[in-house]
Amino acid sequence: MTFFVLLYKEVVQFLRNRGLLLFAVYAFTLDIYLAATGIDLTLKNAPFYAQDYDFSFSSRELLSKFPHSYFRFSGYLLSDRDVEKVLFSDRAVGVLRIPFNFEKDLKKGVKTEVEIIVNGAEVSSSYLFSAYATQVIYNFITGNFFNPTLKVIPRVYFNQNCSSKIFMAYSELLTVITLFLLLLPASAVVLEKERGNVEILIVSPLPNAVFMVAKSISMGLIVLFFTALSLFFTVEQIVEVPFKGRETDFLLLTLLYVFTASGLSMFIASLSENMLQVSQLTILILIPILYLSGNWTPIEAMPKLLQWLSALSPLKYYIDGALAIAIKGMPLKELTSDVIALFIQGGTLFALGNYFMIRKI
Amino acid sequence: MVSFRRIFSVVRKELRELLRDKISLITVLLVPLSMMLVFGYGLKLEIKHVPVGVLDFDKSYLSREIVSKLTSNSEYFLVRSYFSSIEEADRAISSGKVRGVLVFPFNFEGDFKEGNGKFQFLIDGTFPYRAEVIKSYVNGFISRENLLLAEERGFALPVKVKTRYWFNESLNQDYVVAVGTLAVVLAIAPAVFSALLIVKEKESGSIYNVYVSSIGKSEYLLGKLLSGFTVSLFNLFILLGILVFLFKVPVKGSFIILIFVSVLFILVSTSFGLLISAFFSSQAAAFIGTVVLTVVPSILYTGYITPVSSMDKGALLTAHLIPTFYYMRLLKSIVFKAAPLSLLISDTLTLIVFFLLLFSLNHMLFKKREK
Repeated sequence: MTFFVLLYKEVVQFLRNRGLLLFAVYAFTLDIYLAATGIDLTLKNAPFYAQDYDFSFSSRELLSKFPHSYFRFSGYLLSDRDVEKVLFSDRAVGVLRIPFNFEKDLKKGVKTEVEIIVNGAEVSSSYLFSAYATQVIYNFITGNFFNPTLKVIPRVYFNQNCSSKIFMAYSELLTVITLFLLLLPASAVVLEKERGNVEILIVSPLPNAVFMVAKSISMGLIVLFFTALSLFFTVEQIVEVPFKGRETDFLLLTLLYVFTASGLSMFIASLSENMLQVSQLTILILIPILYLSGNWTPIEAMPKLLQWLSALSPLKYYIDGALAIAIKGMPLKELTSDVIALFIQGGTLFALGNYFMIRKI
Repeated sequence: MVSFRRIFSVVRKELRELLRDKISLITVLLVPLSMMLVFGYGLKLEIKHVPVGVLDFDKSYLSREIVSKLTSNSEYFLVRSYFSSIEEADRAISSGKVRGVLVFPFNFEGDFKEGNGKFQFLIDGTFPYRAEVIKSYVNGFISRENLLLAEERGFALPVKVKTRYWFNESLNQDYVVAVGTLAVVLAIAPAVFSALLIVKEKESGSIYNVYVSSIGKSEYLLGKLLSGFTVSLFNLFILLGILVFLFKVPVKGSFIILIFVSVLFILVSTSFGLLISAFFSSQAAAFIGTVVLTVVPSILYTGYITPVSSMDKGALLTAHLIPTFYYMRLLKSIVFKAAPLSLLISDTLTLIVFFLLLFSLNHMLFKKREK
């Protein structure tokens, strides 16, 4: 009974903190919407210019071969100074330079050179731009001379147009969940420390363990509620990202993750005396967890040492599992390895975190 | 009249408080440092060692040849497993065991001899950027193979395609990522630190001492601003040191201008944190609010990993409301392009306007009595 009273107290306290509530709503709705619709790592509508010295039928034909889904032809440039200007002002990802007598040379089979000038101050787009542009030019030219004998037909599973929206919506949701799970329980505990409430609790008949566990569980429930809200409302309705698997599976996996992350949060709480420490420690723990999850840098591309360390990031298993459910439509029972890993990590961290916290008091 | 003595006593109090709180002191220094190191080093968009599987219905010399050429000559692909049915291949992609599967149909070699050798490449689209890059690797590989085959038949392609990277000749993406990370870290760390400066006094109740003391509103706020600024200034020099000596980013433009705009930007992000701090009455809310309001916008709308030129109108409009957007542009212009002063003036002025705007908003919102 006392346990439920404590749960109730924590939830009410959270709801009455209007600022926190406001940001929680913001993070689980608008923030995810912005991330899903605003960022696109793939090449989409990349503006490019042409410096066409030839201005022939063939050169125009070549330019028309650049597919509109990836490229956006923005006009012709006359001089090198103009090239510099569009690249300086970030108006183009690249410029295509077609030499004099391009058509003539092409027909006679004389060596000629098409140049792709790429804005190297961009990260993701510069590689894809040059790779795709090279591909387009080769296809155009070989098409003029011979039929390629070897063909590959790429087929992308789960997300045929390689739309970043699907990935970004879920990835941002999982990041926001992690942030709140790390912060909320720790701040709930440290706030009591700062105010001196902890002394009252120690002399009360309540066992310390009950008090601590109530904190983590209540905050976990709040995050779970917001996750559901975000999943059903923001992701599925507003961003209109399809959900392939079963929502209950997703929420069950999240519940498991709640234990892991709030265990970490209790570690933060046991180390911290004030909110400044909580806030800084939260970021310090969040960064490696985020990085090692493989969400941004593929784990197989990391150095060996980091590949091993990534086994420690609970977010890795959560992301693997959650994306498999949401994007690939896998049922939870086929994700045994992720579930077991989260279960072991969660059990250990939750028990240890709470243990440290109780000893500290 | 603003008294400098009173301003500095606020600064002194804050700094002394920080120096006495060992854990805070260490973490305040470690947070920007670790962000810079982890993302500056670690954020690699380069894709390699992609685990792939093979489903070979043809079992011919040609199919084996293609697999071995695709995997042995490059560090892009690693063959993880061989499948015997399409269901097996599908399951391996679903479970994340492989990211791609090469499918060779029956009579692939025979079709090839007739001039039409087609095979399939199945790609896991969970991570869209990775899927696109993998696609481009395979397409590029096939183009090269076709050219080689044509050369064997005595045909040489007359056209060469040359790629040149401007501003960053070797296309060292690590430099671009490191510089971008600096901007993102300077948007987040100073704001997060200063976000607690006022609200902590509200929560502990010591703000009443300020309400009843003779210190003026502007003096109090300036004191808080300066204390946040001092800490961040210290961090700025560490970060710039890392950028130049550890990441070895060659700075093409003027170092003095680089420092000047960075200092200006710290003032902007510190005053943003203070604004949040003056507005909210709980530290948890102020912290989460600052993180949420700084992290996503400064990563997404500034050209950190996605090009500004590909943004649509709405996104571009949003970008112009975010100070980091201007700072990122300034940084890239100074470091990579050695842009002349005339091209930097307008962005610098915008940052100054942002600072004045944020600080005066702060001044308006902060009241020397409880609401």
